Amino acid sequence: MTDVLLVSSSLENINVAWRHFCYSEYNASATTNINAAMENLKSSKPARIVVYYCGEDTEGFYPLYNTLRSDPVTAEVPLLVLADVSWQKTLTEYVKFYNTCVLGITVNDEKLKDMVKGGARHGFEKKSAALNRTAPKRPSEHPGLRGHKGR
Amino acid sequence: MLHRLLILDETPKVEVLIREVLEADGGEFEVKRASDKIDAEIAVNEHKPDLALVALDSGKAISALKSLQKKNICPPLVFMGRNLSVKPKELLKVKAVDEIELPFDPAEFCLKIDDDIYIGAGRVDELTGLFKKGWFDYKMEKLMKKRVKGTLFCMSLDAYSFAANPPTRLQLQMASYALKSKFKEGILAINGTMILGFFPSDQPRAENEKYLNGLIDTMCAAADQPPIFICAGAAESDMYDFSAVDTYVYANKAMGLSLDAGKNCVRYYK
Repeated sequence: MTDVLLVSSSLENINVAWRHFCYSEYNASATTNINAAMENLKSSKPARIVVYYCGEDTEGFYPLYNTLRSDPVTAEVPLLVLADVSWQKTLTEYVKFYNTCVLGITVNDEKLKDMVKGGARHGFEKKSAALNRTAPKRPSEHPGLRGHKGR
Repeated sequence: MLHRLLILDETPKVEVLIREVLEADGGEFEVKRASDKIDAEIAVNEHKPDLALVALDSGKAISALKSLQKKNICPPLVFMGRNLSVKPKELLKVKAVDEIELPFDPAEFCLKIDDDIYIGAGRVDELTGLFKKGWFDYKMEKLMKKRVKGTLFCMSLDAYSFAANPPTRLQLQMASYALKSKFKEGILAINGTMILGFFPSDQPRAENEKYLNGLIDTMCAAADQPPIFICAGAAESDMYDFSAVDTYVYANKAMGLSLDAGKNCVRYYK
């Protein structure tokens, strides 16, 4: 059984997403509150994976992601995003998310089970990439400053 | 300080994601998205953006950009795309402040946007390429909001040593050292007078830098939290809108920011 924490921005979204997790393979709990999610993940029996449901009207995914990754206790927790079509492209093409997998909300339950199980066990990050993760680097020379010389 | 961004892109929700990324970094942003000429013109006239981020793989966004340029109402530009080496030919002669490759690292993106807003607004000293006071105030304000955990060091050089050692390179070296060493934040700014240390101007540059790097190493070794460098490079007092009073205000703020205030902090003196 996989311990899953389902998070979204509203109860309506949680209700929509819950149908994926009402199987005996999951031991799921749900919240709409970032602090409650963090409490769960820092408890003595934390969820092994966080699933965020991104419906069309959802906002607040990045604050959750940022809170999760900024805390040393939860920084490595795998995150699976179930995103509607309007979010899926944005989340996959614009930002590099660490240990995060984005799936469309139309994903079938079998594939979702595989992804949740695999993610909870091994995470979504390749080992080599995880080891090489470094702090953000400032570009050595800003294009806008080219040509400027010191005195 | 509220900054306004316009995103010329057809992808839905990108404005929500980018606003959330920038706000999580401590900035205040109003972000609008326009996907065609009419929306873009309305957004520029009503919203007065500081920067426009243009998606290079969106034909509609590029048409919107051309329309803004034709009407001479185009804000400073930042290109973004998956393959920046291949630009649409109509953009080859268009000058952008910066380019952002997709997908971006959120922390790097926020640093770039901060800088680009100031470069776009012309708030960079043309002679030295250094940012003026407003940028430093803004960055300090953001840090104050975050209450980041770490030890802060303030350091500066006096005017004479900067005359002997080109400030941009030396400051970049210090800031990039801070970033490479996985410090949470490296800040580059200009400032007057001395916060820490007095580096003699008659020493050769290489020796000066060697001494400086040794000093940084010592401070890093002493810190039990990741240090944050506020690299306050010097110019003469009262240049670049800074005064000696600013120096003390910043130093006090910096020391107060550290959750370990008083421990492992390098003292400054008048």
